[in-house]
Amino acid sequence: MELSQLLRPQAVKVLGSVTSKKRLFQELGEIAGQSLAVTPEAVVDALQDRESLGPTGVGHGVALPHARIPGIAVMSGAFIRLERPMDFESVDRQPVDLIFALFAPEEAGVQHLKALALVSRTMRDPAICAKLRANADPVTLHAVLTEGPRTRAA
Amino acid sequence: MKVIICGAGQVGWQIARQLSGENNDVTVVDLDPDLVRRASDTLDVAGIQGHASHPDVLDRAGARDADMVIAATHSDEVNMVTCQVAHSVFAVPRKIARLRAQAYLAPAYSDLYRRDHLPIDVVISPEREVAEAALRRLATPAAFDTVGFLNGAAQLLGLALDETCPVLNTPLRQLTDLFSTLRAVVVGIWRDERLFVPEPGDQLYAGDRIYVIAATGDVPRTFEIFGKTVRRQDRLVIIGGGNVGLTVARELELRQSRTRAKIIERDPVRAEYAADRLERTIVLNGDGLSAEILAEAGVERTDAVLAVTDDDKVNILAAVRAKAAGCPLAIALVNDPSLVPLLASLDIDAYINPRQTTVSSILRHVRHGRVQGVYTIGDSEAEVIEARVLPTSPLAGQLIKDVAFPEGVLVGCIGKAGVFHKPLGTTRIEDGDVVVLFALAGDIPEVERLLQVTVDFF
Repeated sequence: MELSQLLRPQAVKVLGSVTSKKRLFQELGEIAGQSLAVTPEAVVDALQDRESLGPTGVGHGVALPHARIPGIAVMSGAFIRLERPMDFESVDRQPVDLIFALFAPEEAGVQHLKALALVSRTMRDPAICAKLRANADPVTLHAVLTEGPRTRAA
Repeated sequence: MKVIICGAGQVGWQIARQLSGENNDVTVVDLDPDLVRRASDTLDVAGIQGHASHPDVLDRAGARDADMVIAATHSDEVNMVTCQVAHSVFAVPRKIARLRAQAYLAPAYSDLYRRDHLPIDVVISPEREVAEAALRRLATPAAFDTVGFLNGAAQLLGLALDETCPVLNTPLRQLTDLFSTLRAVVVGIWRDERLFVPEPGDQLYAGDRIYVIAATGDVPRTFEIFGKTVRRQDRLVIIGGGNVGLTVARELELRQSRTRAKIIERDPVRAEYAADRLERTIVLNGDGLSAEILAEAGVERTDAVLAVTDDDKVNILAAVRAKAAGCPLAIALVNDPSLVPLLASLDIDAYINPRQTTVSSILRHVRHGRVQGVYTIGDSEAEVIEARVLPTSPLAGQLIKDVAFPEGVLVGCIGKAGVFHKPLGTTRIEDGDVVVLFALAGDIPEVERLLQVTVDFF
């Protein structure tokens, strides 16, 4: 599995600031609603339910919200970069500006865990995060994210 | 989590105190500027003065970012419209409303509160909660406090110990050895107006008020060991024929219990109304404080008296008078928590605090997700939390002795596939288990952390 299979160019966005997780999830719901056969509300509900079990902020300004969503056929992702970081109850209490969300089918077996591991590995790379923070163009951000692992393998 | 609490009265204030103390972002809305100021001055909350159901007021309160609205104003209709506006205009995902009027609560109309109709996720009815608390107290008269956990497989019991208690002055560790088959754990002790979680070396003294979590099947034995006699409640006098008294009497009739109840109601119109709605219960019109009317109700031969008028002082005095006349058990409804310390010296056996019951049931829904049940102890000095253990959480897969529980937290019991297990150091907590924890207020955030899943949970 590669990130280019999970993340479509249209699913990358740059936003000025978001005042709450709720608004962030609404943005993610909008992105998912455009490409997947689900309503934004269903995505928001699922992300919020998952978040209430434990925050998905992994530290160093990165959050990986994810949920199984009824009606989704394949795993897919969305990426948002915030110009103003937001509070995310992360483990290191650092505000978050890089958000990679994953939307999984309800019966995803181990695929969803593999996808989460892949995203998590990519977002742990300080070089990639630095590049993501230095760019504001969604096309460039998409390129950075989808090429990251390959350049490292080379 | 961002929460908007509408109504800064007793219930709203208490919930605001609780939630703001747990690092939630709380905004309180009330029409009364004094109540708003009292909340924002004494608590770490924002205050907005205004009409809770008006969209512009909710907007100012931050409804666009809010995860939850709790509508607890004095008006049912305002609470309903607040939830509708929060849903339709601001997409607030979770909405809790307090509704008082019994007409709104009839099961036949519960469809009304669906998302596509009037979107209220949880309806809290204080009077119904109080009536249920009263029925629980009557079912276990030897306890001053009682509530069920694990779908009824476990009971929390509050027991006031006196000199006749046979297990005083003995370390708890020794009691565990002595009664090794007893499925019960002492989880909290009130002593000298202080609540603490006992250690194995601690002893019990006369005058202690203790909390025990016991398997429901072992409740009679628990009473016996702690020196409480269990007597059947065949005759009951209810003072006050309002919604609470009427609900209790009707519930007793519906459950076809053996109990024969009499209601004393001062207002003749209300007395007639209550009488019309009851079949076997006798309704007497008169003042619950009058010795004559109490005698007419046969209070000296009755097994219990339940004083549930809307006046705390009437309830307390009527309970005292009934006890003086020879009634063995008196339970009083007390709204003002500052009166509670008086009750023991007045020989009143148990009390019901409507605020506490309402706050308890609202918190149960606030803590959603991992937590299935919450019961607040006293004036929120502690909570009993029932929660499912999820994979990846710090508790999952651990032996109890290996978990770094804070000092103010004790495991009361564990449900494995619905079956009660007494917690031992060597008990392993597995994912899917349900744990019942007693936690002092200051340690609740740490309990929440122990129940949280890690990012790997999908």
